[in-house]
Amino acid sequence: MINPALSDEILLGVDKPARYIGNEINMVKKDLSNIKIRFAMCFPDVYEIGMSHLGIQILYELFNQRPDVYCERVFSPWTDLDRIMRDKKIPLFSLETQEPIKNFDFLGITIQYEMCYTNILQILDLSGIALHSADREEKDPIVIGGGPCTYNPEPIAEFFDLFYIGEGEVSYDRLFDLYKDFREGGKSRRDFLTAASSLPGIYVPSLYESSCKKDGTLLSFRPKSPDIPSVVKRQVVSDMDSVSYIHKPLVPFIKVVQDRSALEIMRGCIRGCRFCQAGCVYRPLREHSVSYLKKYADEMLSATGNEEITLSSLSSSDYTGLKDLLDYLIGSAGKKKINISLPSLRIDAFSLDIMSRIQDVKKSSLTFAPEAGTQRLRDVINKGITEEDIMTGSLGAFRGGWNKVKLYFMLGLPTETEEDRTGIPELCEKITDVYYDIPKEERNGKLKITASSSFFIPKPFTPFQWVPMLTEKEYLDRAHFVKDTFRTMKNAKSMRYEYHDADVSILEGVFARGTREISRVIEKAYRKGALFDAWSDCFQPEIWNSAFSECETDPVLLVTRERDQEELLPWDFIDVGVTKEFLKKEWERAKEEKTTPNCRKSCQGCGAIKYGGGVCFENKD
Amino acid sequence: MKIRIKFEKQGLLRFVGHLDLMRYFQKAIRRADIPIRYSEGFSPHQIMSFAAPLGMGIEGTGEYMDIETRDEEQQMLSSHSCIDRLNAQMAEGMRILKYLQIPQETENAMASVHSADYRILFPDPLSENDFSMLKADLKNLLEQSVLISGKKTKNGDKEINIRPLIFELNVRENGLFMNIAQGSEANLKPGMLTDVLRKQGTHSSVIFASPFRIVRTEIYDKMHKELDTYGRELL
Repeated sequence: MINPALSDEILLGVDKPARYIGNEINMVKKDLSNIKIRFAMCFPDVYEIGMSHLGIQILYELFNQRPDVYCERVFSPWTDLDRIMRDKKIPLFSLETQEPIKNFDFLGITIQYEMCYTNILQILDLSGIALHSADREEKDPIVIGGGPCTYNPEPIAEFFDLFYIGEGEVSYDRLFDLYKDFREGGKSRRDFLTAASSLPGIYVPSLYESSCKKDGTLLSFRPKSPDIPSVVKRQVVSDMDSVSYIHKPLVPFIKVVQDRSALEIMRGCIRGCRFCQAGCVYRPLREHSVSYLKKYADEMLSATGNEEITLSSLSSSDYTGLKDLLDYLIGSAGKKKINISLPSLRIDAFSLDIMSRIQDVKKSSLTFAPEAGTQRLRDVINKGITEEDIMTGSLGAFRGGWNKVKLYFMLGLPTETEEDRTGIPELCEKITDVYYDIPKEERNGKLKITASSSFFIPKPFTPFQWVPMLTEKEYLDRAHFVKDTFRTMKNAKSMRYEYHDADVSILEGVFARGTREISRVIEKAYRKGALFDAWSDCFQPEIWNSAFSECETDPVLLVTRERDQEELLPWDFIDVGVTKEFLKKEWERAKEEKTTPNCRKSCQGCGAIKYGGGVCFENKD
Repeated sequence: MKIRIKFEKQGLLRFVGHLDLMRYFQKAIRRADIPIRYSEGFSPHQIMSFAAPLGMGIEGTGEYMDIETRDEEQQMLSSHSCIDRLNAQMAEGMRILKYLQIPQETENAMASVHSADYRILFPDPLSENDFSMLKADLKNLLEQSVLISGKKTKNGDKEINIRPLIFELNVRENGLFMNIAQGSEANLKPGMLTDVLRKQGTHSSVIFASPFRIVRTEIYDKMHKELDTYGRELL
């Protein structure tokens, strides 16, 4: 048995000590004498969140398939332990060997959302690793970032030695081999980083320089020397069945957010919603075959003993093998008492039928994501869901026994008018009408409609990457207006409306499109005590306000400024496949309120075809 | 078929709480392909119950749980093979010791619990001096008819007399041995006893200041019989 890094006294004094002990079922154990590369895989949030993330489980197993690599895990200590570790100067440790992170060769951090940025600094700080790449010592781990936020890594660029842009399955082997050569050859950290920068998908921020104008606009961005690539290309798996998935998922002792086996059925999305970064940067849509998924579904369930399996994708209804796969899962689930959950389904007759077979209709709710209140605005954002779809789906659902409906909207979308905002409660009212038109004796219990709004945040590599955000006050005014309008609806009693926090949205907006300058603000806020900003209980807006003002940076100016189409954007050096020309064209169509057909209907030449796989080649020889 | 399982929960598993242990076993039983029975209804759950929850940080070497299995499939499996199957699925620190059929009419483990043995173990054997001082503290303690201990409940702090809940208490070579009330009718946590000792004893506060382990070693029913007395092995 490996002794825990923390004493009993500490473990028994903190909430959920099993977050820190490792030793879970399917944890990888290795003999360290055969290991050349020690990799600490980090999700910079609390254990229950990190362990629910599919990506690190895929990479954990993939890296550990190499006999010379030992990949371990580390998460953010919760605030109670964080305090103790600082007081007692206990260095941050991995779960597997309970050894200090500082002893590792790599610290790989997956960056899934902007609000974890201060937690990245917590991880570095508690590990005893300098926050800035420039200040690190020869023996320190190489700090790598990956994940969706690396599509604009600039606000956190100074904290990382390198970023891996794209899907991990593709280039990590080459990176590890290169590292081994450098270590064995006794070469320096700097030599390694320079050599790594020429590997596909690797971005080494210290080898690039940028300058900004006073308003935060990027003036220039280029490699410091001519032998460093000026463009970093996103790494993409072109044939999904050619890579391995998770054979033995870890089984946490404590209940994590995703307490189920997740089967990734495909990557990418054909829909082209114009606000959606994932829909752009994960192109093209690439499916796993049904036979591949059947095999992994069986393996994952028998290796974990989980009682639930969920299908993971951006839009499950677009998976061509859905019916086959579900027939198989429902067949084997019945025998083994396995529950199946199906998020991100389009509500139609097929999905209602499936759901009524696998869920307790009385307990579950239906979810629609119209995102906007009027058809006009839905056309602007290219959300291919019509009012008729929603009404037909709702009627089918009510007839099938459901009585709970959830709807997701966004406020502050480009071109939004008062009519669009009024459209949100009106759309909900129409759904209640569908319900109350059903004869009373055929209705099932009490109707409950929950609508919620988030605030629109323009993201890099979307057709909306140039558009301004609104101020916090304007967002809140709009949300209050919608809430007030809900109260005037005749079936207001059956409806509930809630909205996100506007201050967090502004901050996300700053980070999403920020430059390197922003790293000063993040560091300042961290030094002042900002941590776990994604948790509303922990988020302290006043810390951020003072961090911005001390750095003489105006967040409102940064988010509300409309970017010029010709402006150099901080993320322009990344090639994600989708071209800027395509994004510009889509922005023009948005302004004209024109929709764009999905990838299966007709190819729009977005640029993703160059990856040589997926939907771009469907029905072609 | 009613099955009683005896198991150990040691090492790092002492940091896994009771609700998490239940989920751990549900998954382990699926992995081991034990033919457990499920409840009826839309979301069936495994028929499983534990004798007595073990406090956080405490180890157990004689823990019990009852499950029900499907007769036909269970009859094809011996106790030995079920133990092997389950042990192949255990995390380090967990071990299945017994897998016994109990008569259908047996009261379930949770309802029958009356007392439990606990040991408090110090890393090193007690010195002669410590031993005799501790012995004196215990003697003094047991001579009192009322021992008040504060207990945290949902409705604030409550004071209870723990003296009637101590059936046996003595010093052993490297720690304490106790048999104390356990179960739904009356329940004493060993930590409450050591707290009282620390407060009232002359020497105990010194001894208990250094780290010690608490291990629950056996659970008994009202007849003071071990809970595995009633089972028989499946051959």
